[in-house]
Amino acid sequence: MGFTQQAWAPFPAPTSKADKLIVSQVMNTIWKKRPGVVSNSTRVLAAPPRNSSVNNRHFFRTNRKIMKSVSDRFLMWIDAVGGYLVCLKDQVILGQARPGSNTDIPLVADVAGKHAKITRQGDEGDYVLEPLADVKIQNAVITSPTLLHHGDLIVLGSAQLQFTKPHPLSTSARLDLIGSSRTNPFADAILLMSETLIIGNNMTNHVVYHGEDHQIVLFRQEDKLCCRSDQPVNLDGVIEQSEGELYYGSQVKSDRMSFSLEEVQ
Amino acid sequence: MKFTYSTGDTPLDGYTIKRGLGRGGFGEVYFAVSHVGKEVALKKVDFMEADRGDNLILNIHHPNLVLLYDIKHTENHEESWIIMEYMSGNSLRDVLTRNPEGLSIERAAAWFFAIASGVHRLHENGCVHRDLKPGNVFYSEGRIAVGDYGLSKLISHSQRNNHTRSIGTCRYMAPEIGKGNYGRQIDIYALGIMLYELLIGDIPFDGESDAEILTKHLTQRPDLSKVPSAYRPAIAKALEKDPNRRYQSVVEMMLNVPQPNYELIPELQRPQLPSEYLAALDQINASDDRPTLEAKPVDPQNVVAPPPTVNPPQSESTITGTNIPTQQNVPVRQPQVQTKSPVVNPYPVPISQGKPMTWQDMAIRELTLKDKSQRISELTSSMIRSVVGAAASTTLIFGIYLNNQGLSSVESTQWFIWLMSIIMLSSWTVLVVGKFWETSRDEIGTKRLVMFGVGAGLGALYLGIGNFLKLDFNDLHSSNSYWPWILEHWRFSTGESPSYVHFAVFTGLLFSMCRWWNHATPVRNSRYDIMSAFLFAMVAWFLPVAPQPLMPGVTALTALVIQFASPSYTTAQRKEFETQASTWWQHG
Repeated sequence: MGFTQQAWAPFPAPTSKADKLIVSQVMNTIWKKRPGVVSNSTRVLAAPPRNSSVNNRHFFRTNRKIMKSVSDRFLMWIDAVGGYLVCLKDQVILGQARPGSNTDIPLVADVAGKHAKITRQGDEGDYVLEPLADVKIQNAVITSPTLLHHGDLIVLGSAQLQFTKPHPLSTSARLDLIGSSRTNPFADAILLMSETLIIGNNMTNHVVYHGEDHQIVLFRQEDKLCCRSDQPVNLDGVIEQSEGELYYGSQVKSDRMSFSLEEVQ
Repeated sequence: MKFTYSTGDTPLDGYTIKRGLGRGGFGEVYFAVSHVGKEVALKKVDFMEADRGDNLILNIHHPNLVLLYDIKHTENHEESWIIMEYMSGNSLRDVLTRNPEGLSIERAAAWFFAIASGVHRLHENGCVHRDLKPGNVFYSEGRIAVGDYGLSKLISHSQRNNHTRSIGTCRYMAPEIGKGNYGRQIDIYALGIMLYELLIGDIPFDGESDAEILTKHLTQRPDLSKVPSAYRPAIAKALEKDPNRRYQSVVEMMLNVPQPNYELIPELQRPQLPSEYLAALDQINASDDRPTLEAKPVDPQNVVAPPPTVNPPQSESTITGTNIPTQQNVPVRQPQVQTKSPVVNPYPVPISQGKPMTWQDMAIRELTLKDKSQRISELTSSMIRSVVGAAASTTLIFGIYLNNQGLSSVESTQWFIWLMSIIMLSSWTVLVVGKFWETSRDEIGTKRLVMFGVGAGLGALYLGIGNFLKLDFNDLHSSNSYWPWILEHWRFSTGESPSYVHFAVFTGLLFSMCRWWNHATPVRNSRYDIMSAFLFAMVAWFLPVAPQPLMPGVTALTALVIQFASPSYTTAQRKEFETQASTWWQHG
């Protein structure tokens, strides 16, 4: 490989209490495998809702048979915060959004059908961009696979993206579209999720919301996508949950935040 | 923030909700996608009657206004949905939250000019925004657009009271909004507050409670010491308490704000400036000796180095883009130097903090806005009515009292003339003084002193008229001594004619001991107040004002004549003021 491994360490060691909490949480989710936490038996069904059709749907969603497990990609719609295209694969292809194309990150921009490939590799979770057409990183044309650094500005044809790895202990990354280019379906940002994804009001979270202190962590457990909250949430109509599996169509609601997952068509 | 609908719901046929965006002034706003993939923002409001005349706002187009596509109603007629352009970026509220110290001067000015251009187009189309605030200004791909316009007007036709308007709105509300009768100057006021906030990061009038903020809006002068000096005159004038002293148009205000250097802020598009502004600018530049393309000194601290290598997402500097300037290079102009006039509080009644608003407060606020000619015409009609009242009451006295006193017809006529003239002159005096004092509710001591002086003068005048008519006051004065402690020489005694001092002092006391002026203001609880008239008569009797017992009756009748002559607010108007007083910041 024609690049050097460069450790990124723009963040000092966590000092504040809140930071330590996040770190312990992330440690927990990454290293402490706790099988069997998410199972049907731990779920307590709420009373069947009355006449509201919306509530009814939540209720029936708790029936696993009609809920589909999350696979490679999904859209995460967070109320009052934004919509995010979350990619779970270690390797994603960026290219033009065309009917029938199977790029992971479809861009509505003047770019090639397959313009670049981003791969997550190693324990450190390094992201390497392999150009498949004209690509510039930080204004320098690149021709070979290149390691991405926090804050890098990537230019693919007419599309500009900023690459960030907000959290020092999570290997998940975020791509923000800058300027007039956009993804299809529309999303405010692309999240390359490895093991965890943190939604909270800290600037080092992958998704930052401006509000009272509240954190929700999405994490993988074997083949499942789960979420854990530091406050009880309503998970698919089941109240007072702190942890549970997420499916396409899942809805998570707390007093301070609410989001739902949607399958990418 | 809780939302009624979530991803996948289709409350409005043809659109699928993706997520909640926020809560505007009138309801929840969602991001939704139509069946064919058009991304829109949907605003849910309670069902409103489609009034064609008001829907004209749907067809106002300007790059600095959020585009409204349509308004649709659900089949069950329970909800209406406003379908509008989706602005993918953040609102100015978010931008200001991330920049608590304010934006750089260039960015602040660019935001201001964009907002002002959009608001100007609204005004041009005869629409007042009424709810301008950072949460209603949006950013998307370099474009700044004002949203939520015209909605208050549309929605005011439906059940406005059912909508709880978001807290914090009052931070941008002009003082006269509570009155419910206002024009585009309220948008100018809000522009002034927003320009201040863009530069400083903080608003000029803030407080713990809505009441505190409102009081400050009404009474406090903004502290402009932190504002860059070039922007002070514009903000000071836009934040005048009296709408007539503010800028009368957005263009006028824009002319007093220095333009930003757009080359330093490539991420922001140039606004579509009003043609009036450009024309006025050309004219000023033509008459100016100064070079037109003068480089504006820029504080080096405020220039953000382009392109930053390590930059957290969602900061102000990430909104960079390649935007081709849409307009010719507009010359940067130094602001006109204005001599700052002292800000005078137009409301003489300071509304004390914590004290609830009463309907009188609201009524007095409205009275302060009357102009001179209106006051004079009101006073004239009151005085004419008082002549009628005086004639009627004198006839009454004549009928029930003078007739039976054994006077000759000549004497009776003389008394009739005297009584009518004193009732008329007294009520005229009170009406004139009351007109002056109708907007003030304090300074009672001063008012009493003035009334004593005026009353003393009138008393002397009355005796003068009486002497001219050759009246013998002893004819009607009862010789019974009501009040033995009154000094002998203050009383009439047979064979003595009354002195001028006697008349002056007693009439003066009668005028100062009673609050006559309260019967000449429209701010009264009821038009006729018989009880007060009776009390005034008692005062006249206790003093005693001679001749007795004629004068107590004259006093009571004079009070009634004044009440008859000066109209008060009707019950309906009082009710309206009461509602305003309880919810007066919500009137939008």
